[in-house]
Amino acid sequence: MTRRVCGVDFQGHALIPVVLVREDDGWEFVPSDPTRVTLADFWDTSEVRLFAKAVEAFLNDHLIDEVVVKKRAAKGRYAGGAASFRMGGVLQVVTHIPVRFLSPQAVSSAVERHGFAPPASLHKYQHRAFDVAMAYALASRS
Amino acid sequence: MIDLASLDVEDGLRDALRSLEGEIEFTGFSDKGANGYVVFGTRTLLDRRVAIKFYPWADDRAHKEPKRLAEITSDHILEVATARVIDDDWAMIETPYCPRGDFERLVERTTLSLHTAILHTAEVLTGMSALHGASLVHRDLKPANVFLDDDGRARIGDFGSVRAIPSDQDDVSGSGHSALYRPPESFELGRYGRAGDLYQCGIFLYEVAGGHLPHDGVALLDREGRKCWGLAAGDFERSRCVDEAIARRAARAKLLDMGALPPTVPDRLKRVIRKATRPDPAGRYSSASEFISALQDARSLCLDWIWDGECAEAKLPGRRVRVVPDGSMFVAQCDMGSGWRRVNELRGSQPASVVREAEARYGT
Repeated sequence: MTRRVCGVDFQGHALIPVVLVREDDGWEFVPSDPTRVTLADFWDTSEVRLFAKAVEAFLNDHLIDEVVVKKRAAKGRYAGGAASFRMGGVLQVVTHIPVRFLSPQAVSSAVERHGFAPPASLHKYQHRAFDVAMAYALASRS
Repeated sequence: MIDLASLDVEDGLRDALRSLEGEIEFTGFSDKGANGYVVFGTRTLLDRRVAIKFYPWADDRAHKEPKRLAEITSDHILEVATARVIDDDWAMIETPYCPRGDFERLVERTTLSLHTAILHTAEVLTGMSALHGASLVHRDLKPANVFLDDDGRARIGDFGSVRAIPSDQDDVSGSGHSALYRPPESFELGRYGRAGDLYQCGIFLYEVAGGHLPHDGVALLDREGRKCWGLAAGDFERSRCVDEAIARRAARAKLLDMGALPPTVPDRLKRVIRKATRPDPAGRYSSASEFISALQDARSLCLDWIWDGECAEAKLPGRRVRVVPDGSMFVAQCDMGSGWRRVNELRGSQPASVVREAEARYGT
């Protein structure tokens, strides 16, 4: 049975999703549209609702089994932006699909250990989402 | 209460209704749908209002749809409470009844604001993505089959035309119902896939945004259609003339009149409608989520206008803006809590241009 993981990275006011599918010979990248889901104004409830629908539809359309998000610091110099935490909260509750978090250190060490690289067809802004998806996928295999 | 004996339905259906009479008090009946009947009632033990769709099915195919529908959990699909095969010809699906009605009636009675129309379309698309994820196509998505629930959310209902897509195929046979909403490939090839549902969502968006589709088929006749109509011998042939005229319009992307949309609808949203309803399925949005993403982009560029046929008004934090007729011109007015004041520099002969100028000044 195929399994699909969606890696997520937050950049500014956008959620960047990248989908991987488990095939017989390992994990493969699946091209998916849209390549970003935006939340321009998180004070506008109607816009947050629309964002939630966009995320839910993305997860439905791509038959996602698990979501994995790169963890961001909540405070300090490298803290994530407010929009990213709003978007992350929506992502956690919008469906019953499990949402996991992976630390940046775990992602970096997985890249180092397994030496995977994003497919050439990916935009640069999708690389971090690819890395987190692949790091989680490879870790959950063992 | 309705008198089952007086209903103009087949005996098999009447017997099925009688078998439910102990549990359900029937209160209404509709034969509005082209693909079956809907009966309304109250489950007496639970005091819960329900709608039961009776639809034709062929016993030569696997009847997978009710089970798959019942497995879907979505805020935007009416839940299947129970389903039953009645005989070799008819089956039924019971769903909750939505007292706030369907979107066909809603847009007849009221005008939705632009952002509300976009959000409800996104809700329908989200429900559609859940159907597609379960390898189902609705095949009869239109405002009359989308309901407003008690929480104000759009929910897809009427599952009489739903079909399961076999795992080795991308589409199923096209439905012959609701010609106005049928995608061109359904007329031309008799096939219907997920892109067909997205096409119908595009027409839904057009209608909830204030566009009008003439439900009187004669208004849709082209030159060829009028000729056909003139030679037609009876109602059946005339109906065929209308369906063929609709098919020609859909194939040429001439079914929807973008010029008839309210002046508050921005070009960006019109482009979304056009793309969703392109004759070639490959030219439409590839998925519900891509469609919603385009709606998000369009929404971010427009205010939440409501158009009453003459004036446009939008609420913003701390102020209201409206565009009203002023002699032969249109002018913008702004109310910041002390009454409406003219904004003299925002004037024009067309409401759409003043609306866009007001957006540039006050919003987006």
